[in-house]
Amino acid sequence: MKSLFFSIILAISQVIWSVGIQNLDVQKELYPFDTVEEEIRFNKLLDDYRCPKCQSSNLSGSNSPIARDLKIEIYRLVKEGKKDYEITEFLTQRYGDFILYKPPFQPSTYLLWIGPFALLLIAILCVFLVKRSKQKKVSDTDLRALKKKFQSESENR
Amino acid sequence: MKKIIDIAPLVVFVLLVLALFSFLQRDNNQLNSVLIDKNFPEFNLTKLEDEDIILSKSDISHFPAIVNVWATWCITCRVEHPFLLNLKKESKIKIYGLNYKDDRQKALSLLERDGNPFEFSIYDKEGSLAIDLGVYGAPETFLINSDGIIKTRHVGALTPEIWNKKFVIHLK
Repeated sequence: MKSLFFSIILAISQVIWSVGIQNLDVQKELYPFDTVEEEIRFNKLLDDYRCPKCQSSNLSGSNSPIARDLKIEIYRLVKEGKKDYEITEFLTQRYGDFILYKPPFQPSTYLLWIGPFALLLIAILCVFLVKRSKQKKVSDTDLRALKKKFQSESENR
Repeated sequence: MKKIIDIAPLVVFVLLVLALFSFLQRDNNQLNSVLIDKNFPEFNLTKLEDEDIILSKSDISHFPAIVNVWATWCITCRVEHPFLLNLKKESKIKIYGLNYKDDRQKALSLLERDGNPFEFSIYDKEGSLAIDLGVYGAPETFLINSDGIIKTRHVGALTPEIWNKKFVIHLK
């Protein structure tokens, strides 16, 4: 039973693997490069830009027509020997910062970049304050209890 | 002081929920165009109606104008089509078409069948001008003022409401 289960898992993973390899081959055929460096750069760029139509996917993960057009455009630019920042400039001049998965650090994105850290700081501050006020409470009651004990003990004597 | 600290987390939480909720209400399908207040990009493409004529930016010569990105494969464009025809009839604004990644013959027969609201259409088979315009889905409409500057962009079908809200304010 166990071995059957494992062989099924193995078969499924093999199918997934081969499909993945096929996709890679198709990509290689569609976008042939002279050097491996160019190809790596191209694939990295496709991972870093967002598809403007689908919005929650990067270019490499999208098959929408506009993503395909942008892939072809980026391919052309890489083949022309354009630097990464030039390609980024090309895209943001047309589609805005939206196309970047990593938005630039500028006034309109300060909240986005600093917000989480500010929230964390506020949370730590809250925990600290609450804890301190609790500690104070405990020590107050402890003191009172101690006083009472002392008083009753002295009365007993 | 102590009371304030006690309710502070709740207040922060409520504010956060309200802020995030208001972001949810926003229409994410409308990306702001970075071309607003910029010049319409240069291009050299053939005319849809005549493949021997090469059009360029200077052919868009009557302002204010709108440039409408359309295609026969685009269903929403057909929904929008009667609005454009009506606009041509009732307004003195010039409408230029940007036929986007389409088949010339199909596009021409659609215009013949349903009517042609455009002065002419630019035939952008590869979508190169569309990329320069930051187009990500047809239909899209750009308003160009009398100085040749893009003033607004709408993604999706035009309706009288959207026309009044987004376009008319730039036409004064």
